[in-house]
Amino acid sequence: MGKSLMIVDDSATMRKIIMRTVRMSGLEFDRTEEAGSGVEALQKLESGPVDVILCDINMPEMNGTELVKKARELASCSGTKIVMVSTESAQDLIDQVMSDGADGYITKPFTPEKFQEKLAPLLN
Amino acid sequence: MAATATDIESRLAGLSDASFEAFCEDLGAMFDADVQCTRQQAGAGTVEEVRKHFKKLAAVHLVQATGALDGTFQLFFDQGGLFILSGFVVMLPEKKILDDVKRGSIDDADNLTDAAREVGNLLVGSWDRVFREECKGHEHFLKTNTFIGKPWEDSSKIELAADEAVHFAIYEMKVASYPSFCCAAVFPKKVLHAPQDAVVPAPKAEAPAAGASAPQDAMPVAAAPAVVPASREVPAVSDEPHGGQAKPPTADVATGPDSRTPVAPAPAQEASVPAEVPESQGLTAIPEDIQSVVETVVGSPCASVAADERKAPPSRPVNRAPAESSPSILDQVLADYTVGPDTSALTDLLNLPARKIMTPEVIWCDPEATVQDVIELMQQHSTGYVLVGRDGVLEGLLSGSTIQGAISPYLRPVFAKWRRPEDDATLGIKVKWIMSRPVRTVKPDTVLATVIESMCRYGGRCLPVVDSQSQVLGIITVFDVLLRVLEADQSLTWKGRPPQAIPVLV
Repeated sequence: MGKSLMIVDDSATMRKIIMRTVRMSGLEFDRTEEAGSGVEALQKLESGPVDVILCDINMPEMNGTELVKKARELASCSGTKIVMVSTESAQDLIDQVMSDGADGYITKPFTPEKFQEKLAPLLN
Repeated sequence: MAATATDIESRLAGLSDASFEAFCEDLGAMFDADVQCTRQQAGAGTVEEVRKHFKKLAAVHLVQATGALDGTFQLFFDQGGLFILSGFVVMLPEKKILDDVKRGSIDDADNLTDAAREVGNLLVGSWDRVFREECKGHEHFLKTNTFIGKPWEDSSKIELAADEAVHFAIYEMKVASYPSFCCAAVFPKKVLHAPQDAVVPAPKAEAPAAGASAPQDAMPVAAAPAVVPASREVPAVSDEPHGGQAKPPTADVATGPDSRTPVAPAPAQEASVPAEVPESQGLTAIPEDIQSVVETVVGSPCASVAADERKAPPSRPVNRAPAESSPSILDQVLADYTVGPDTSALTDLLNLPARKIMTPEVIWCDPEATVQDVIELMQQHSTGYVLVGRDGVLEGLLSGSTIQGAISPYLRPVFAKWRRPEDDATLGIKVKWIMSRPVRTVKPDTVLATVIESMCRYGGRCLPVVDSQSQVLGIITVFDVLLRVLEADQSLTWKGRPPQAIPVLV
């Protein structure tokens, strides 16, 4: 069965860049969704789970760390892998979001190779 | 070594070099492009020194620094940098970017606000990383705002006074084959009042000795430009454009001045619609009085040919050549079928109206949408067809194969090594240039037989269903047709195969 991906970022530009980089990485998803905020992402996740979420941290309304916590409360997201994508590279922040329930962390700027390196193990 | 404001000040040019270098490398790696940066000038003075480089539109990223630097400093990009970097990351056609560089208005810039902000985020991410690695007293950089406009009309918007004392470093940056542009880092002097415990590592060879006592001159003017290559290896491929796309219908997305330009979109794919539908023998199993309609809704008057079409099955399965007197595809199919004891099921099937065959969920896009947008729509909705139009008015049709034909084959992961920005640019092609038009449609009461005939005759695998007001009610794809056939009377069996075999139309 094919894998599904959700990209959560308040910037449409960044969502496109992430989508393009995922494609360049060679990773294949049968279904991809986008959400412009944490709230929108939760609404979509409630109606149907995805295999992988790529999530920005700094977003209005609900930031990425809050989204991770709330997504982990959803039964439908028990198997979902959540990978944070952010320009924030401070180790203490990375440690915090990982302890909140994230499965990985990719710092911007990123490359297709970095996506392959971080996401492929999670997909397997 | 305990750092003083003077220590940091003495290293600003070197840190700026390293930070812009990191940005070039990051941008180059992210978008597989050659990005270079060369320092042109560095020193101290007032903002007047900076102003002369940024007289037109500019993007100014305001960065809140804590730690070794404390306060807000500014990262400038001139009009070229604003439009090239923003356009580059969202893959605008090269011609559009170059036009904006020369003649871009504030409205053009506003349209790229989101992209400019993302460029700023990437930039500040690179700067933050370099300072974290090379300046121990550094705590954090946070981009607080991206100003787009003429910065000196009201310099308070970029948090600089007209006579502000600053240190600055000015660079020439070049992205891929685009013309070089100007960028700068500007540090108000008040930002240099670093905490007493800030520690700066020993400067590298290019940095002057720490502890210089003349702050105004401490940021060295570069005796020789510091070339900051992005260390990207240019793929060893021909400069000849690949993809074989033709010139677009207008200059709007035309190719650039040389061969290393975005591949222009393929010309609009005009459906080959014969002026008249030739007569041929109808299906005796289908009632004569069915009012089926197949019409052209875009690009030509609503020539209702449907009633005739039902009586005029095509002469070949998939052939746009004028029909001859040979049997229709449906005649051939029926001749090849071993019809079971009850033929009414086949008759019922072929008389099924479009409204019962169609998929009501229809995905739309605007004619100004890009190929990238449509790819995402198709992926999000798991559909192979997207209708193009505005306010419910159908203007064109896009299929997965149309999209596939428009984008560069070098976008496939297997060719990633040779991928160039020009290939990415094909994702920025507007769909209005490649959509199929005119679009043939059917009415809700058009029967399946006519739908099949239309698909076979004109080669289309998707027919929108429209009502009398030309409002789209749904679409019928070849898969919907196949599904109906498979759901039909199981007594239909393919000649020569066992009765259990699933009927297959080929």
